[in-house]
Amino acid sequence: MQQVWKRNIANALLGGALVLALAGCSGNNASDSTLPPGTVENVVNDTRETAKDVGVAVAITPKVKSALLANESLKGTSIDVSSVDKTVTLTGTVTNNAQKSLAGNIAKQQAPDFQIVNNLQVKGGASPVMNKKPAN
Amino acid sequence: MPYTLNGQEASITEPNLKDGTMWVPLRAVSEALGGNADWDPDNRVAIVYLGTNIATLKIDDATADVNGEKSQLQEAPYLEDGETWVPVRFFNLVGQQVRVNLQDKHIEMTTVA
Repeated sequence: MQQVWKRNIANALLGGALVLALAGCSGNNASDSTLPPGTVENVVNDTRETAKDVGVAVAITPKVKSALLANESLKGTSIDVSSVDKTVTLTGTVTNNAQKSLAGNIAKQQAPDFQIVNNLQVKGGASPVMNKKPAN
Repeated sequence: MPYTLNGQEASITEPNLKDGTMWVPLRAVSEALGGNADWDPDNRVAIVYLGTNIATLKIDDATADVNGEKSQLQEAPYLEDGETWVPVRFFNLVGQQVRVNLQDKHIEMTTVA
C-alpha cells in the first residue's frame, strides 16, 4: 500500500515536470511573437539577397569564360574563371602581357559591376617592354 | 593635316590609299582618339581599346572580333615597318563616325559611342 502511494507521488511529480517543460516551450514561442516587427522578414530578405548575389556570381562565370575562349588572341591559353560575391578572379597562364591585359579587360567588359582580380601568370615572364616593341 | 579627329587636327602617319581602300595606322589613330593599342606577338593579334570597345585584329585575317562579335573588314590588316595597318572603316565598328575624302586623302572621325 505504501509502495502504491509512493508510485502515485512519483507519477505526479513527473507529470508536473512535463507540464512545466511544455509551458517553458510555449513560453519561448510566445516570446518570438514579441520580436520587433519585420525581424523575421528582414532575415528572409537578407537570405534572398544573398541567394540572388550568389546566383549572379554563378551566372557571370560562364559568361566571362566563354567570352575569353572566343577571343582569337586568347586561344591556346589556360584561363580559369571563378566568381564569389562581387569579385571575378582569373587564374591560369597566358603567353604574354598583352593577353593578360586583354583577359582582364574582357572580364571587366562582361562583368562591369564586379571587381576583377587578374591573377594570370605570364608563361616565360615576358617583360612589358618586349610587348611594346613590335607592331601597331 | 590628313586627319581631323573629334574636331582636332592630328599629326600622325598619313593614310594610305591602295586599290580603293583607305588604310590607316592602327595604334596612331587609336591613341589620337584617346584609346590605346596592344600587340600579342604570339598570335600576331593587334588589340584595340577605344572607349568601352575592345577589338582584336589578326594580321592577314579580315575577320575582326569587336566586343565578342565577329565582324568582316574590307581587307585583312597587314604589318609594315612594325606598324599594323587597317582599313579606315574598321573604326566604324568601334564607335567612330568616319568620313573619308579620297581626293584630299583627308579623314574625319567623330566618336559617337
